[in-house]
Amino acid sequence: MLATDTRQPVLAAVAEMLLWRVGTSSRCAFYDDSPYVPPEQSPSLKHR
Amino acid sequence: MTSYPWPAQGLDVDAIRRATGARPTPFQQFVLKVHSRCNLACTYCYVYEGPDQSWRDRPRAVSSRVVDAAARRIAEHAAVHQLLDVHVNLHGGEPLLSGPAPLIRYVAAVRRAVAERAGESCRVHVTTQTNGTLLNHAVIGELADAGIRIGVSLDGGLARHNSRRVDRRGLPSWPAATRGLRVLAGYPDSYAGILCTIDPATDPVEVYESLLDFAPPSLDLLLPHANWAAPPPGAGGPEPYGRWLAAVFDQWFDAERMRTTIRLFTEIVGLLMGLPSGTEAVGTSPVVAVVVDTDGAIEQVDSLKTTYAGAPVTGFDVFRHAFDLALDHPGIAARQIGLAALSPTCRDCALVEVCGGGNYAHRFHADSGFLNPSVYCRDLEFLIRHIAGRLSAAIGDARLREG
Repeated sequence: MLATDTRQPVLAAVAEMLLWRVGTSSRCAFYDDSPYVPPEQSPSLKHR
Repeated sequence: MTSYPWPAQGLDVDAIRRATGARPTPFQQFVLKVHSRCNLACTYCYVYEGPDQSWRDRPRAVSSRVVDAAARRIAEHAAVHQLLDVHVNLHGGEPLLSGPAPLIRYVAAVRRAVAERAGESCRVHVTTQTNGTLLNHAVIGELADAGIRIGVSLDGGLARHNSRRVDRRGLPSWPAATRGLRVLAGYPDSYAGILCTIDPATDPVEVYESLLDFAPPSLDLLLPHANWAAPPPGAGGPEPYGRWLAAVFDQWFDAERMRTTIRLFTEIVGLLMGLPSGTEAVGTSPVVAVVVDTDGAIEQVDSLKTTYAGAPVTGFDVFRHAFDLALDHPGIAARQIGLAALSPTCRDCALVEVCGGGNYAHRFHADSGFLNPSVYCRDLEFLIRHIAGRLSAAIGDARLREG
């Protein structure tokens, strides 16, 4: 819904970026003094 | 080395893992030190200006022996944990101080070792974080050919925003840095983004808008490293950093399109919606970064150098130890156990799942170690409540993770 809500284009774009995290069990945080690992490129594990 | 009470003492990693069922999370980001010196002398540098002066005893440049051993250890870790993605960040000092060749050799060794040991299905993503002064077409081209993307540190898009970023003679780095950054902006596939350390004395909207002139694909706004023993600079008035960030958030959020991704804001929005974080600045996700220094030492992240001498030390190195051993180090385990690593004040806070106690280094107190709220607690609360308010108004939904 957010992705098509053009009243808040930035929020829609962020929601699309973060969509993959919904329901994921993959959680990991990266070092601040390094370039952003965009959410859609975040790492995954074969087996957890 | 001074020993502080928590987590160096007082954290029983095994007991917490037994009680919570938590397992160590494999490292997925390897910060590899290529060069331990810098051509700049930024006044707030956490490597050279903090209480930890270990850089003085490190080799200036990483040797082929360290490169080979680090590559083998990364590959071993990727294979044992069946990682699908490994992130390598080439770091300094200034990583380009000896040119691009050492970076390219390091990356080639890691890629080769990972392919041999973990298989082609494990992808190696590589970035480097530079001050930008040594970037030109030839350097960027060589790094691009090696699949190395480039992030630049810059504190604003105008000369006066960068008065703290000076060379060893005290002369501004601005002309050289922006010359390099303008060249980099012409290589969008190689351009990872800009890291900006906040100075609350600057105009936040001016800093943000001026950085957009360099067309960064991503941006992060970093709180200057500070802690309870060394409070933040220029902290006049209530929540100066929170207010500064909130002003940028509004400018970013109200735009007609997303002009760049801002890591801190993107992550807070996600956390407020109940999603896990991907940055150490906020949230309670396990931190998966580890450092290999130019001498092969396996270290915790550099930001700890702002707390006390020896704070990043694990006692392990890539010649004798697997990365798995470091996962059991109290300092690293403390950053992977979520709420259990937070102070009672934080655990009782309505915003804890979003804030997560803030950056670990900012919680340090000389008496109680890292078991404290962030020295930026009030700023973080101000910013999170501000963003929550804006989201709530935007989507008319009370289902945000905010108390």
